[in-house]
Amino acid sequence: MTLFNFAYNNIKRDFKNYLYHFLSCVFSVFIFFLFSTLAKHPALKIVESGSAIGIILFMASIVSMLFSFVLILYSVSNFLRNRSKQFAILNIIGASKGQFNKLIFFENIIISIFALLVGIITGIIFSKIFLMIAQSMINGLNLYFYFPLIPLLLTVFLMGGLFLLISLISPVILRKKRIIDLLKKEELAEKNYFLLSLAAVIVILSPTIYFHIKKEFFTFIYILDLLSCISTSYFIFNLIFNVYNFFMEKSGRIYVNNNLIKLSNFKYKVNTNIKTMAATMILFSIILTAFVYIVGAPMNVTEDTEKIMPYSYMYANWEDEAEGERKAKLIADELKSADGFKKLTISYSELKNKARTVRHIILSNTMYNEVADFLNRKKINLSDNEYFLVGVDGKSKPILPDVVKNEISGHGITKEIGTDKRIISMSGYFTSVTVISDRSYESISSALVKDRIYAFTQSNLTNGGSEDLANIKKLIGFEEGKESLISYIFYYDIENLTRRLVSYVGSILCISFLIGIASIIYSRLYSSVEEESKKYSIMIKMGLSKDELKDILASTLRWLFILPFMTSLIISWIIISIVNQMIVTSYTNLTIICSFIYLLTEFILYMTIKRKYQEKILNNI
Amino acid sequence: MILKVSNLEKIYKGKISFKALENINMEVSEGEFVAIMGPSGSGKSTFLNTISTIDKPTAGSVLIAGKNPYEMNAKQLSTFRRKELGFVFQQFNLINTLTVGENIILPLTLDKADVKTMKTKLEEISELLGLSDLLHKRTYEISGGQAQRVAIARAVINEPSILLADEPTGNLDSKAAKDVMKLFKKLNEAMHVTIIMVTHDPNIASYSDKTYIIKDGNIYQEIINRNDNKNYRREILNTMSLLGGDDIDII
Repeated sequence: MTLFNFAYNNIKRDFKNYLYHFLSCVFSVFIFFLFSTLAKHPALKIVESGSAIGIILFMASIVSMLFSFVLILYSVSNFLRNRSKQFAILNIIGASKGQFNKLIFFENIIISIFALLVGIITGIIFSKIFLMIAQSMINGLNLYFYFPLIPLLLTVFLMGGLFLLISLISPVILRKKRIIDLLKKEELAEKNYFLLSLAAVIVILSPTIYFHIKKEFFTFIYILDLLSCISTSYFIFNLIFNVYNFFMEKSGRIYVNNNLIKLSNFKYKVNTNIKTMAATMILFSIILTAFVYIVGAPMNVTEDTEKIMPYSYMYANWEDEAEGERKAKLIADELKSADGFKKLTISYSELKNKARTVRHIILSNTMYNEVADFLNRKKINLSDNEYFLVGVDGKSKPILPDVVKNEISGHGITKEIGTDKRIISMSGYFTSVTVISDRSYESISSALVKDRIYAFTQSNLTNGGSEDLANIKKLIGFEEGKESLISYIFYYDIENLTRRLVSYVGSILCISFLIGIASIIYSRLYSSVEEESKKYSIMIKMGLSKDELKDILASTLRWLFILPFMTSLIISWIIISIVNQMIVTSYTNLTIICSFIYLLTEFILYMTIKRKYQEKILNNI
Repeated sequence: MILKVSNLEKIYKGKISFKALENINMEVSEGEFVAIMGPSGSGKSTFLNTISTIDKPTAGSVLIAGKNPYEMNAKQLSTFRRKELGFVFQQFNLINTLTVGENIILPLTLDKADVKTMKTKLEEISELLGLSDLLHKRTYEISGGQAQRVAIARAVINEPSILLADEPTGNLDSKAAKDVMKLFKKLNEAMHVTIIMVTHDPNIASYSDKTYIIKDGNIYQEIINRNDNKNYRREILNTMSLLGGDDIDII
């Protein structure tokens, strides 16, 4: 018998113990493989790696890798802990540290290889279905089934590498405990790391906040953010429990209604419990928040695209005014057959600037009212000392830039009477838009550069396709660098594809996070079933009724499953309300609907898990 | 001298420090079978743990086969445990993913012995301990007495200098306990294995050549078997009952 045989026998004969870890590995491989089959699909070859879609797919692989890493690390540490007694025996009969590491390494490698095999095979089997789902969710792509050789290689190398890394670091997880503790018949109660977690929060959170206030962002900041997230949630749950415990003890309520058993139960595994709660809370927060956007994003594409491109076409010639006029007419002739066709020439004055893409423009009141009429917006009426600001990016409230301020204040225009964050050109074309009264405009504009853009619209903006843009460009003899022509539908298509892809990728990630929560809760509850059953069978002999026992078990579950959920629900509301202020669409109504769905789902899940867990313990007694 | 313990002291530090062992001196020569007895909490298990390299003493020295295990690094210590010490526990501590045979040859595996040596040694030892028919069974398929015999086989397959046993019969019925003690005697006589055994049972202790009685962390008395088993047993019983242990049960 060699160490390798030993490792192999361990897995083969005690597969139940390894099953949870094995399934985590298989699942990670499966998810990664599915992403790769989508990302490397021939139909997506046209997607450049620098484009939004390329970045989404890349980020999705990174997130799924990170998630796999954490999940596998969690399950590895769990199954190593379950076997600590075996390690103590080995230690005492003279296994050296090197032999330990080798044994754990071999076991991990065996599991990894099988997990890669099973994960990839199931991945290939399911890839057809998942590609079909992807195709129906992201319309406009032909995601046919293909033999995923590159994804296969990618999975083998990247996930294999990840497994290798975990195999190498997992012996480190097995902190050197004293053999004497491991050999003791009973397990020891866990320590409460309250002060340590407080220290961790202070050490990690303060630099994170400092860098955020200073706005010094660097790649490392994400790791800091993540660590702060983890340490803060650990600390907060620890605090909640300690405060609760303190009040129960102070008020004497600890001696009522089996509270003593419930609290001591929690305390006995306090570290594991709080870890589980923190992990569950973080995952839930991500899922609950993301789900709103996954559902919401594809619903508002039309409205959102209008917010970044309000016309069906927009044309501008930067060099030759007459040529611009001629081409605009050609475009109008091409488009005029469309239902509800309208054309508008928007003339404005522009502050001189060396860079061509910096455009601080000034509009006359009359011109703005024409635009407002064109876009069905409210008209304004300005006095000579007043100005009005119009948005340029569709997101943020416009502010008056200093250069413009200097220019207009010289003419006595100092009073801001309002703003409108909706844009009047494609997003980002103008740097700032200031409207002033016609009389002021006349006196200011003489010193400024005159320019214009042409706007075309029709009643149904989504009419036609992206290829129409190319046809029109051909028609007018479009010259790159001299003029600009952009269509609504072009933006709409990109936006639509991106959002549906985000939705698809996001929903798969959400599902895997949900499974992650399930597996964390499962391993917390089921790894100690035997130990718990033994404890409760003694209590039942002492006169604890079955209903009381059920109540005690439910209390554990409330701490582990309900409290983190409620916390994360509140966190998701906060995140959504913050994001609402930054983006063009409001998700408030959707959030309310989703919250009801969440609460219902959580309730059903809680009832199911509770019943199963109670049954499991009762059957074991 | 296979084991030389001098001025051994063990203090458990905590909110209230507790002196578990105080100034213990003991010498065990090769081939001796020593029992260590004492009431609960007297420090007998702590003593065994300190001489078996599991629990570091706070003062004093332990020399096993002339070497001090507490001066070794981790690697030397594991080799030392493998070569010089054999352990038998109350809970058997077999590895349940391995068969009986595999459990027995585990120390040889760790020693990277070749397969042929493993085979011959396994045959020898299982023959001697009457385990030949059980080698392919799993650990949960055998009785407690058999499990303890497997643990003993595993402990002695490397021919250690000392066999350390912590309540080896604590989980066994009297018949199985008797069998295990007969085995210990057999190993001691046939293979000259040095045995140090902790027990609280005077009947079990009476199989040994010498019994040390520990009380409050000190050696209270040393009782020697002068080839008179009956007398030896009575002496142990008397001392224990004096300490408030089991009732006197003289037949």
